[in-house]
Amino acid sequence: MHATSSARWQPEPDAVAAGRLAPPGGGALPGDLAIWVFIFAELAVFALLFAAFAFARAAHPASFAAGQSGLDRGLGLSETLVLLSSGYCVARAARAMAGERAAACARWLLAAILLGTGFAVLKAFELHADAQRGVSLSANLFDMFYLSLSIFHFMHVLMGLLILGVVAWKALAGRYAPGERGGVETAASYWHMVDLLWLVLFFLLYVSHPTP
Amino acid sequence: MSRIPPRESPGTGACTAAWLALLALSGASWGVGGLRATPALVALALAATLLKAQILIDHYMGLRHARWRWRALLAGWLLLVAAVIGAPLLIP
Repeated sequence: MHATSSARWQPEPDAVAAGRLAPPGGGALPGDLAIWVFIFAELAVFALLFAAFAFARAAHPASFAAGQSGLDRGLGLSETLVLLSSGYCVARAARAMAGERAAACARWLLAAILLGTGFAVLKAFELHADAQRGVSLSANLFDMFYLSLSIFHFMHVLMGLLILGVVAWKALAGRYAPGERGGVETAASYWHMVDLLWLVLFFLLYVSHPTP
Repeated sequence: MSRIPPRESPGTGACTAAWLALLALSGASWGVGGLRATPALVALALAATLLKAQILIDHYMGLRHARWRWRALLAGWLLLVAAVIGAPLLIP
């Protein structure tokens, strides 16, 4: 159904097929502004935590080096690859919805949830293994930072999976009007924030080490 | 009321390329992280992280064509994070 006298923009079929989108309101943040207020607030909080970790590490290089050497770097990389792939599926889901392909959107969202759950399982396994070898919030400064950051991020992953689940269900149930992007874009924006934060966490925990 | 001209979003090809770049950069920086830390390698790994973050912001979040104020806000956050985590590592 194409708009006639209505000002509502409709994507051209060939542009949609080519995967190019041209939504109106050019330059606006995708999804609800409210989620972006939340996203910026979370980015600010995590920036403080990242700074605290970095400066504590500089003050206690030996302790942090010892703590980091106990981490499973292979697991860290696996988690990164899985989470980035989940983010890719979410990005594809948002594009599908904008191109008025709700069924494809739902499939991409389910793939994203599957991969996101994979990250959560890997992380839960890692934290369990850490607990088994004596890592605890009260053990030492590194353990406190490592567990606080990891668990805090993990909670955001769980929240993100819940949000994606709700949106995937709505997409599957046909609750979105053709081209109604807002819900999917809002959920996607939150998930990409979770991914963005993990990129920094990955660098801090599994890539960079205290300067000797 | 004038109609806002449509903007073009990155296509799925660019999104896929971004994903592959993110995977490759992650693997590369992980590899670098396994080597003995020298300031040059640390700076390289940090630069890779910043590049990954910008790729995610542009192509996953879809902000490549967002208004400059939003891009500036995120770029500012990224630079701040880079400074606070890079300074203790790189400044003796």
